[in-house]
Amino acid sequence: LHVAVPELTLPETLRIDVRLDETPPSGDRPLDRLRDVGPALAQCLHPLKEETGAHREVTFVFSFRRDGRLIAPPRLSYSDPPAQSNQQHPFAAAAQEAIVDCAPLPFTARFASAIAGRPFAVRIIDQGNNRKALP
Amino acid sequence: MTSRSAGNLLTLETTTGPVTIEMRPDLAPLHVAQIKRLVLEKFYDGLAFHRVIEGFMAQTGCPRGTGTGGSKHADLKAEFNAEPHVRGTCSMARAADPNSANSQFFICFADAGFLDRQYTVWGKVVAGMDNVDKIKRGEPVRDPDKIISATLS
Repeated sequence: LHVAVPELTLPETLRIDVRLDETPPSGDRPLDRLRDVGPALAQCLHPLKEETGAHREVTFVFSFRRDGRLIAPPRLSYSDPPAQSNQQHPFAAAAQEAIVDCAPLPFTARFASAIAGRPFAVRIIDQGNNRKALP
Repeated sequence: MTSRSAGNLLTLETTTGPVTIEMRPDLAPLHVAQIKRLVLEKFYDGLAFHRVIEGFMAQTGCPRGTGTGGSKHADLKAEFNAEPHVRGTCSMARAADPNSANSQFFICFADAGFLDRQYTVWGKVVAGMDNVDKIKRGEPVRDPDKIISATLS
């Protein structure tokens, strides 16, 4: 007798890297692909672009509703420099605020139905003195 | 050549052939002054076209060859202007900070209007665009083409 056990599926985390110096300009079109999300978020990260020369990196986990709003505030899962005394590093705090202010994102209906409720892990990287010059 | 090009012609002798650029101090005086200074210091001689994207642009002017380098001189205040990014346009690369251009610049292969007023246009190729088209593509470029020497006239 073979009993098929349905595989337990968990929502797979969607991972996005946003490098402050390498993100191409984002248009005004609705977001239709995963690769559109990073540039759209990057447009909101201007408060982080002040140059300090230091390498800084944070990762936030969060999910979107179909209408592009956040389900809950982004949760910090990694910070370099690390948080001190239970207080987020200013870079992490600014990143969190920027993500919150960025929502709602303009998803297409098709894309929204595909990603609503799925966790995003967004890694925001400032390469400090190693920022690249780009067009 | 126009009368305004007197003293503002930059010739890049590259591994694909000569490229002549008319610099526009009327558009970007600080940028043109910095490029002239760097040319006289021979800063650009031997530097690679390290990031070359088909249908977009060829970028050079990084002493590290990675896109992360600049000259010993201070970064430039942005001089965004109304000149469009079209085929042959020479414009300055920069990091996220609008005032971070230093030595790296790029030459557009084609229209790139989405860059207008976000990057400082400082010149245009007036001869040798066929040699720009021959520059080896890549990001990064393996065995890149280079500026052999840069001169002013």
